[in-house]
Parts: sequence; C-alpha cells; structure tokens
Amino acid sequence: MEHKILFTGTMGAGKTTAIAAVSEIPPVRTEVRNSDTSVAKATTTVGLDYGELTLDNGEKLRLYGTPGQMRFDFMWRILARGALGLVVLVDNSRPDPLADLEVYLDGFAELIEKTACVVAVGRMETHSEPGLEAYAQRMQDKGVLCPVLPANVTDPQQVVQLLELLLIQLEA
Amino acid sequence: MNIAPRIKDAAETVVDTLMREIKGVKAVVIATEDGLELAARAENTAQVARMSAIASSLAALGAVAGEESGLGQCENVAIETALGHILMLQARHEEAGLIVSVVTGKDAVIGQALYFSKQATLALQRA
Amino acid sequence: MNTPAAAPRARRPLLSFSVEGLPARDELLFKSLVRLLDHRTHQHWAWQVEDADLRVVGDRLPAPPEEEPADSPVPLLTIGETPPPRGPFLRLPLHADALEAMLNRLGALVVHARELGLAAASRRRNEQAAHGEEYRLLRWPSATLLDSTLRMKLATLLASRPASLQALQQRSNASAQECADFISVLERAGFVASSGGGATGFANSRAPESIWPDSHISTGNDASHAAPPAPRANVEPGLLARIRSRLGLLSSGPRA
Repeated sequence: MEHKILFTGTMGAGKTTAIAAVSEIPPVRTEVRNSDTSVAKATTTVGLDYGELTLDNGEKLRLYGTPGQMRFDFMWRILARGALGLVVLVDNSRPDPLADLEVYLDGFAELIEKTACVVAVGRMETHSEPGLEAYAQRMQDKGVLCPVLPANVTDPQQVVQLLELLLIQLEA
Repeated sequence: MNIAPRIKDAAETVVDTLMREIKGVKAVVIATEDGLELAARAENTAQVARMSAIASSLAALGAVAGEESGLGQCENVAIETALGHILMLQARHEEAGLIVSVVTGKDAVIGQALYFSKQATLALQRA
Repeated sequence: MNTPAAAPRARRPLLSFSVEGLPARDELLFKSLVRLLDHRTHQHWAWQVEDADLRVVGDRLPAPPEEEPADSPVPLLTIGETPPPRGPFLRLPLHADALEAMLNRLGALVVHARELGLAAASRRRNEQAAHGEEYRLLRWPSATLLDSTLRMKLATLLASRPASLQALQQRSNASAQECADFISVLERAGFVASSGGGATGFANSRAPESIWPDSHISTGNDASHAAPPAPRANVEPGLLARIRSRLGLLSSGPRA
C-alpha cells in the first residue's frame, strides 16, 4: 500500500528543500542544469525528488517532489497516483504567484478533490504581496478549500506543521 | 535558453544526419537535459511535442538507476514498444547536457540505430 | 506548536460594524479612521454589510423605535450634525480621539452583552447546536482570525468537510466554548455558513428540480449550496496515527 505525500510548486519554491528538511535519508534528486534564462536558478528537478520516513511498523512514508514546470505535467500525473495529499509551495517573490498557484490547483485538481491539500507561501517576510487574503480569495474563486499559510521550508518544524495540516484533513 | 548558437547548429546537423542514416527512423529530438527542445524532426509533430520533457525525466531516472546500482553514469535509456523503439542518449557537452532521442519503427535495426546515435552524441560533445 | 504566521498579538475581541445612511465620502472617512485607529482600539473592528455588532447610521435615518427589541440589543451610533433624541452620537467632522473613545465604549458594551449571552447570534447558535446544525467553510479565513494553533486546526477541520459543533469538539482538543466562539467569529466575518438550512425543520426534498430532463432550472439557491463533500480516498486504518507519531505530533483529539 502506497503511503506517499507530494510536494509541488515552481522552480525555487522549495520542494527539494522541504523534503530534505524531514526525510530520514538524504533526498534522491534528479536535478540537472537549468537552461531557462528567465529563472535565476542553477539547477532544476526534471524527474522527481524522493525522501522517506520509516513508520513504527516498518512501512515507509514516501515524500515525492515533482518537477515544477508545466512541460513535466506527465510526471505530475504519474506521481499523483495513490498519493495521500499534496503540499503546494508558492514563491511569493515571483512576478505572479497567484497565477503560479493556479497552475498547480489545475494540474492536480483531481488529487486535491479526492484527498487533501495545503498551500504554503514562501518568502512572504520579504515579499508581502500578494497577501494571504488574495490567496484565500483566489482559492475560493477556484472552488478549492484548504489551508493557506506562510511557511519557511528550511525550518523542519514548519514543514512538519504543513504535513500535520494534511493529516488533520485526512482524519476528518 | 542559454545554449550557444554553435551548439544549436550542431544539433540541427545531427538531426539531419540521423534522419538520413538510421533505417526505419521516425523522429529525432535533441533537447536540453532540463527538457527544452533544441532541434527536432518527425514524421508528424505529435510524436515529438512532449518528447523533450519525457526524455529529460527518463534520462534523469536512468542516472539514478545507474548510481543506485553502483554501475556508474547512465549512457542511454532504451525503450522497446509494441511498434518500435525509443533510444535516449546522453550527450555531455561541457557547456550543456543534451539528450538525443531517436524514435524508430519495428523495421529498424537497433544496433545500427545505436551506432549512429552514439556517433551523433560524440559530434555534439565536440561542438 | 506555533503557527508560522504573523508575530503573536494579544487576542482582542473581533467586532463588526455596518454603515447606513451616510454620504459616501463620510462613510469612506469613517472606515478609514477606524482602520487607522486599529492599533489603539480595545477591540478589532471590521466592516461588514449587515448583521454587525454595531450599526453606524447617518442622522437623516428615521429615529429607532422607542423600545429596543429585547433579543437584539445592537448599539446604534449616529454620525452627523444633529444628535438623535437618545443614543450615542458623534458630530461631524470626526475627531480621532472622540471616535476612539466611542468605539472603546461601545465595544465594551458589545463584549459584555456577548458574555451575558444576550446577543441574538449566540442564542441562535445554541439552538442550532442542539439541532446538530452543521457549519460549512466558504473560504479559508483571514489570517487575523487564525490567531492560535487551535483555531488553525479548527479551520482545517472545517476545510475538509462541514461539521457540527459537537463534531468539531470531538475531532480537536477544543472545548465547546472555544468551538462556538470560533464559529461565531467566522460567521460574523462571512467565512462560514450553516449548511443544510435546518431552520424549517423539513427534510430536503427528493423531487427532481424539473420534470423536463434536459432543462436546467436555477432554484436561486445554487450559490449557497456547495457540492457535497467529495468521497475521500480510503486511508488504511492506523496509518495516519503512525505518521503523526513518526513526525512527533500529538494525537489529534480525544478519540484518536
């Protein structure tokens, strides 16, 4: 029985970082050189990131990070199969974070509807707009009801909190 | 895309060559390792629309497989399908990692396709 | 566990005000002043269209009835040139100090009335609770309302499916009062609605919306009905508890 949680979001939003923050093993990465000059990041995930946690009965909770770019949406579909829930990481320093969010709400619509989702907005300390109100409003417009909150995924405690918000929805 | 023009030209040349030389070839796509198309030709464009991104993911997973099994660097990924083959080869130019994807029908000779494809990757690496 | 949201702040009561009968310019000025004074007022005031804790009215509105109905003691603040026969009044042009003092005074009245259970809303809610009324979240609440880990958790529970006060209490570690308070706050801000409309006591009709199979007749209620909660994918029993344990999280509620 698959126990997996997905992390998605744009390049640089922190998917690989979030998984690294809680994984027992150093994450397996499929990062390659970024050839897209419009994003100032040296590398990008093209397959998946993989981390894991071992539960007390020996089973594994697998943490998968998806590639962020839309051209990899076939990976989104593959990775979404059987997932328990989804964490969408948004980078508030990008030009149009709300549009970014919509890409993932659309791309993972079926998974979100069937399971649980949490939207975590990063870099809000330095980039306060759009604010959380705007996010809540956009999600309401799209008919998605799930927690949206600021988060710094370099902090393991905050990543754990995101996972807890998923668990609360799954337990309900 | 930050790929030098001479590399792009080399990629176009490689595509021409492979489409000419490989028996039973249906499509050739050369892409950056992060899944952006550099040069491509196909019998019909639908065949190559997503090939660059898919090749990128497969090549990356191939790399993981090679490392995890302790067998070193992944050189190529070969897929056999009902109606043909797909070969994805790494072309490691020092400025940019590239992936050469070759789609052939059942009538292709895999050895021949592989030979020419490998020659092509060497040419690209020298560009 | 602390939410990673804004810096911790004292939990001021969250009250609402509505505005009627003021010229647009004065209404805008009033709202702006209230916002500006937010760092000084004893309560946090937010504007809403109607059903607010405080009604702010212009002096041209007809005088309120002599007797305030016993079950809706909503304070009325008149703004304008002419004071009404009775009741709180602020003369235009508004002065920040006077407004601040008035808001604090009226805010204290509202809070006191709430505590005495006199507010109609809380009476209504007690009735609803007795009927197992379910609450449905309309959108994720504003961050200002989620000022504790508990409230974040309650909101998350509501986000996954509608719940009655009892259900919320069972699934979290919150007391009945904490759940009721939070629902009040959410209702006042328009983030939650009672679902099922139990007021009439009638069961939902099973009649088709139209006898013409292909026609689409809007009942006019569509906007207020959310789609039924999607069937949740099956989760292996015990898995979530094991994940909680592995992440070092306490179990979720009394029955977990």
